Amino acid sequence: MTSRSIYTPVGAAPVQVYTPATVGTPHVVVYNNGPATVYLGGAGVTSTSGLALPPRTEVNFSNGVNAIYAAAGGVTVSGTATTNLTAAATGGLTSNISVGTTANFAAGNLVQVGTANTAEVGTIASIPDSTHLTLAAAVVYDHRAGATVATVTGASTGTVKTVAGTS
Amino acid sequence: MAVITNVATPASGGGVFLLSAPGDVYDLVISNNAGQTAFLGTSSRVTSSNGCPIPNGQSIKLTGQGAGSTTDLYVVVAGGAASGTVGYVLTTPR
Repeated sequence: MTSRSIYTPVGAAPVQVYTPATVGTPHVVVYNNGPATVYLGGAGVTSTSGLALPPRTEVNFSNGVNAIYAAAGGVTVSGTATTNLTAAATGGLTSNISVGTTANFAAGNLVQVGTANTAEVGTIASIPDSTHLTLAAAVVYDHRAGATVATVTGASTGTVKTVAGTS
Repeated sequence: MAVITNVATPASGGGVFLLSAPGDVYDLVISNNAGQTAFLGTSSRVTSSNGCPIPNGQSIKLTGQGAGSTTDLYVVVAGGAASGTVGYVLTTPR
């Protein structure tokens, strides 16, 4: 038996998160590792049609012979507050992020950390001082110093982890 | 632990309502014995293009569902197969 893990950012457009192996009996576990519900389905999946996979839940395909796509609802940068990381944030560890300024941020705000394939959304749990934001959970990805931190609205981006293999 | 079993008969056209899950956290096993691939989704608009596929004779297991998520599930079968069943076993609370 072999297996491999892949992390895939999910946005509004369908993205293929699993490609079945062509030999053996393929199987896959799809885990929602992000902050928002993602939807699983075929190439045409949307946030109003696919199989809902809430955060921190998983679905196990014991015979995963079909490709699987995922979609979320997308995110809009609100523009009310923007800053940058002043120190790197480590995926799975860092929840208290160092930023240039906390001006215009507030507890409860949704913030996007990073851009492109490593963008993720978290919630500000508290603001301990003028250069730190404490998120409700550790970031999922590694982010370098200088990465953008911005408030967002309608946040529903996600991250899907797939553990696929054959037997 | 409560276990509920049920079946839904697939039909052509739009997705068929399969279940509305409870508010509690739950696990769910869905089995497809419809003769063709079944596709799951959260609305009656589910199709073979946008739904989550389950091959015939296979099942999938969803773990840790609930907690405020969308809980209605619909199913449609490739080719609109009118025979066979898609069933589920729902377990709650965890």
